[in-house]
Amino acid sequence: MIYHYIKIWLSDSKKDISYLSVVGKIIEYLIYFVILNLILNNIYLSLVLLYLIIFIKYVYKNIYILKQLINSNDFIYLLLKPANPIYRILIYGSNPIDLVLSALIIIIFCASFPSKLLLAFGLLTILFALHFLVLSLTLFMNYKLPIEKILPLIIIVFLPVVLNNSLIGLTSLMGVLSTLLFSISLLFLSFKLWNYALKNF
Amino acid sequence: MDKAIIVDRLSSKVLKKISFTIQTGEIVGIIGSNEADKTALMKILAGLSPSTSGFVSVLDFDPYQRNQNFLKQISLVLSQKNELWWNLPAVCLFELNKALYQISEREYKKNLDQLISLFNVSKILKTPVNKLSLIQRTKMEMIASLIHKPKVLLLDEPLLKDFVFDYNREHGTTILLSSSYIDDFTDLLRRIIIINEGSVLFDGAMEEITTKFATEKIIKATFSEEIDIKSIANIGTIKKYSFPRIYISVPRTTVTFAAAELLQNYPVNNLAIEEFPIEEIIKNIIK
Repeated sequence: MIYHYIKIWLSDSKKDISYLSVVGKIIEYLIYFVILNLILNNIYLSLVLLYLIIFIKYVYKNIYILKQLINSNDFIYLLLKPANPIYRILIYGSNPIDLVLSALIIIIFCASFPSKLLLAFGLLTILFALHFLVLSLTLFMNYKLPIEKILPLIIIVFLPVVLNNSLIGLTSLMGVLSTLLFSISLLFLSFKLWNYALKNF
Repeated sequence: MDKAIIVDRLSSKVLKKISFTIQTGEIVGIIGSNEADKTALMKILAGLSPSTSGFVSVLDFDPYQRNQNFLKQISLVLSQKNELWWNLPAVCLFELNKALYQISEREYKKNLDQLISLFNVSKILKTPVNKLSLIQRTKMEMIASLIHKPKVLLLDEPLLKDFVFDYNREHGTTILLSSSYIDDFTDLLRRIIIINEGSVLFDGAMEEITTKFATEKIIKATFSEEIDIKSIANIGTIKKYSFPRIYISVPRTTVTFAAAELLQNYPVNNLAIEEFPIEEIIKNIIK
């Protein structure tokens, strides 16, 4: 199923990918990176922040997709399918160029800090858990709450925790394991919340 | 025969204690002047909306639980809703549905071939959806809804409906078809349910509508010469007169006397007694 969603997404994304758009994206992210690095004077921290920028853009796009599906009433077609609508939203909201860049950043980070591999995994899990949380809120509130205004607040609250865990703090095994446990629990809970929101939509 | 759909004293925001049962393999039409009533019922049966009270069972499932096995056995087609990908050929959606509904390759090919021939779409299968006409898109939408061979098919105000008889005969699918246009049903269905202001007004065979709701009959007569039309007014209500033909509406109980009076007192060449058209009776009930 996921393979077919990806196939459709890739076929449909072809129209958005041109030589110019790829170059444009690279220049855009290069500017972000240079500015971040000038401010922070830390390549890896800048990379992590760049990754977060790409991820936040992805979350915003998915909120937009979900709202559009709800608004056009097409969301009910997803509810009628014997599969969780989250796959459709997550895959369809992706951008191939962003995906490649994100993967590159993860690879660079993990290659540079092999000891922080588990923490990087925890960080990604927390981000996806937050993403599910935001989507669940969108579904719960169904336009009553301007989620776009709340999302940055959530990110700001969690960002220091994430950065602290991934780059500065934790080195002990116990700390790493507890971060992993926290991130997986958060992912599990946010997925449960998403399913609850679906049930009550 | 098993019961595919059981609705017992079902109430929601717009429905008021409606009850009916649909047997497996039956085709039933839902008629009502208010689109909201019919769509609300369809959405409850598909598990998209909850009921406020009453009991609903579709294929022995509580629809609102949206059990995966339930979803694999039903299909809901709503009017003017589109799940096709605008820039891609419709076959992409069929393949996605094949994966979602876990249809085997063999079964998928068999179903798709049958549907392609039923809707005659072999030449446009790989055409991007944005290049298709409305009716071609509707056909593709219908194929996407039928590719998993649902046991219960819910069609809400569908643009395409002529295929339902053939499809039902071939697969034994239980089909519930809703429409505001009575003319759509008369040739297609044996049983209809009339919903008016959220309540079931009638549930039965098409022919029963006449005996239950038509209090009058129509006398069709042809005269050999012009007559004084005013004198006929005491026999019944003149619906239409254009020499030599006249249509008179007469109460069922007195129709034979009225016919006899016409034959005795007027230069009648031909005379026939007919029922009111079903479409007109239903329009009168739900207007």
